[in-house]
Amino acid sequence: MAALNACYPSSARISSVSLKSKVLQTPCFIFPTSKGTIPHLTPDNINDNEVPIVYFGLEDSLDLLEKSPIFTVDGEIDKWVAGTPSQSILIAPRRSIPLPSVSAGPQNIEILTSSGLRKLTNEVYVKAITKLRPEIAIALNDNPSNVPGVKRKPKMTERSITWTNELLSSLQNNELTEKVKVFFPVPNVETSYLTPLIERFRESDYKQHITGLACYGDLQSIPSDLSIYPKLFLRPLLTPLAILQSIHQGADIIMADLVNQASDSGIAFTFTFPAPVENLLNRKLELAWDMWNNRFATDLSPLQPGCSCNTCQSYSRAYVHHLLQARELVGWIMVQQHNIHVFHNFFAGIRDSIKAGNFLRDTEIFEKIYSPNFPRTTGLGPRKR
Amino acid sequence: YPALNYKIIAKCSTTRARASVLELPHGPVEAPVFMPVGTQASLKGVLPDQLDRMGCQIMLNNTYHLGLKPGKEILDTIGGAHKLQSWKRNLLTDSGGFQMVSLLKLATITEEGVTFLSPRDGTPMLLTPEHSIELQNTIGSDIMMQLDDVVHTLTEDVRMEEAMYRSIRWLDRCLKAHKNTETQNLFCIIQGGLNKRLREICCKEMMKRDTPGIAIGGLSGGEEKRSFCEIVHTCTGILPESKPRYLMGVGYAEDLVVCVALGMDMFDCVYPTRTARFGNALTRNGILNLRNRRFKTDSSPLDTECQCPCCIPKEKGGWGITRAFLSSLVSKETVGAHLMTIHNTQFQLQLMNDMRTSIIKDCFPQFVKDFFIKWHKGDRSTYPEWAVTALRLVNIDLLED
Ligand SMILES: [Zn+2]
Ligand SMILES: [Zn+2]
Repeated sequence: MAALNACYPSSARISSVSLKSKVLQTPCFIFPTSKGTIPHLTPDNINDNEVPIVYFGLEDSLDLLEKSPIFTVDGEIDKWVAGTPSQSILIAPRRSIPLPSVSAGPQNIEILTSSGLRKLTNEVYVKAITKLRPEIAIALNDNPSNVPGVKRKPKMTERSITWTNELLSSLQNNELTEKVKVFFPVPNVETSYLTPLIERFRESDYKQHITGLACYGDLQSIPSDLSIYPKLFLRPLLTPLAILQSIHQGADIIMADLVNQASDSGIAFTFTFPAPVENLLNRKLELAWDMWNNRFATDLSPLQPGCSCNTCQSYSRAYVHHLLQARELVGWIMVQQHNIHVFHNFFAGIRDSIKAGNFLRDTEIFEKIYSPNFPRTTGLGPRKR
Repeated sequence: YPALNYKIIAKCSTTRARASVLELPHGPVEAPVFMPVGTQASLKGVLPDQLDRMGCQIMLNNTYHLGLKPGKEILDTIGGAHKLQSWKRNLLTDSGGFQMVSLLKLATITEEGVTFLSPRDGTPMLLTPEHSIELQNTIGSDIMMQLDDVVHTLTEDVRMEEAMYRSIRWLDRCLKAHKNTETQNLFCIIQGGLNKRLREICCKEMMKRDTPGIAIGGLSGGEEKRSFCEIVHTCTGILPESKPRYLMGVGYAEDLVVCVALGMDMFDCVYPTRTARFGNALTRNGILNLRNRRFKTDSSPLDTECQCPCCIPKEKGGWGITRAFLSSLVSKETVGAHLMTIHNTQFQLQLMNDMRTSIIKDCFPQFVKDFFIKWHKGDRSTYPEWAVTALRLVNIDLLED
């Protein structure tokens, strides 16, 4: 990984992460799955170029820990999930936005599976990674959902180090270091608690076996010695502007939770990056349409004119509006397809803007032109019936 | 008929089965055909273009539901249901009457029509044959159904006879109200419950009205299967060969095979797609309930012979979805339901296609025997009595080699 272009005073950068099957151009996003599926989309409705990598929270499939089917069935993670062959998978211990869990011990963390709380030991987690062989694995880590006390914080760092070591040696013993890239979990603590990391990363052997950092806390707290690593930012980002800001703070890969949230609420993205040049006369552009709105009832135009996604190529606003109103599942499929496409283009725009040295200015314009938040929706999500 | 050209391609030399083509305004429909049900202008979890790719040539929409949402006014503005859904193939709509009687307990039927309380605001509303046709004309379906007087199959004879005669009178009103005879076909519906005499009268009366196609109604309510088949057999013995025959609301695999043998061409049912959402996969070897524990660690596809993308392995360009993965998704993720729906829909379409091919090759009786032996996993003692009896009516003895 080499920074090709730095955009002062922002830490935004263009870079790449080499995986077994592909090279990810960053900044990019990783798409959170639910039980291994991209919500609402069967494989034929996913464009692999638009979603090159997905996030799989292992707790989704660990109801019976080591006795869970994902363990006992033959094969790697690709065989387990309904994916397309060219989609890379990252495995992390917990879901992208996990339900609260608090306690942890020297050997385990607590996870919340669909059949309740379970203690996940690093031994089991390492076994899972060694068996499932994802292209990226985030090592087990202790990141409680409440604010940790002063005694817990050093332990969090310690645990990240110990558990990552154990994962790395298992991968080495099984000759999997080429296949499974490891992201080191940087816990959500202040910089002072992270100094033991700098020590550890000085060892050349270690440096070589870590591909990136999984950042559970603020990006500013990452010791500058480690900033050469690609940074996956795991905090939920709920608006496009929040994403842009995190990229300025040095995030290379971000979680696309806001796409799922928008699609579930029937919101169709309309934003682009850079923002369109328009004379707006003090009026802000909407980031998205609320497709529940009755003004779309007879509107036969696509969700976003000019969009080349499958939904916009084939279907109308009137149809999407009708499907949402009628609580038909197909409505959410369409909105999700469109939103992923727009989001993919948003990131392509970000990379181009950084390359051209315009990222700071383009971000300012974006902030000026668009509403800060998504419109409120009038409808209900697919699961809220 | 300006909107339908019906051609018989082949006839089975043993049974009454036929392979045919209905040339309709939105392309050909090869029969025997199963028509998936998209109640509210979509098949649950499957995009119209996915359904098209599966080879589906005709789907159903429910008039009652489209009348509520998006409603007649919006459909008028948009220019019909094909446009709303961007569906390039054919559409069939029911009359709305059946839905009303089955969904709304308070519906009452008079000579004028079906009176019901609006689900929107509770005010009394009236669905007449004229309204039904007006709405179906707005929807623009390629095949429309007459409003009929639907009563339960086991209703006593006096009411059944009244319903049958009323359905004939309502057909006359529907025919009169139908404005788009150039682009839409109106099918009649034979009523008469399990009473052969009433069914015979109804067939003859309806045939006089000379509609482009003929449906048999009132037989999907779980009635005694043996009499059900006898009624179908009675009707196909009377109905003209030269018109498509549609058996409404029938879609279980065994029923489809038997009723094709009895001479029916078209079928619809919500069962295959509804049951998919509850985790039941249809396969040639019977039905798999994915919620059963044994599937949790089963890494085989739903059905190795299935040609749906879920069942085709990744090496061959499919998705290689295992039973184990599906069982982890059932009733938890919408994608689980979508995958199962795709599989079950493909199963129905494939079953009809295979029957069609065997009729054309004139080896349909063998197909029927092979189907039953597989469906019952080689155990003839579990064959349902009604199927054995019904198939004897058309010269197939399931129990003989
Ligand atoms: Zn689009
Ligand atoms: Zn299949």
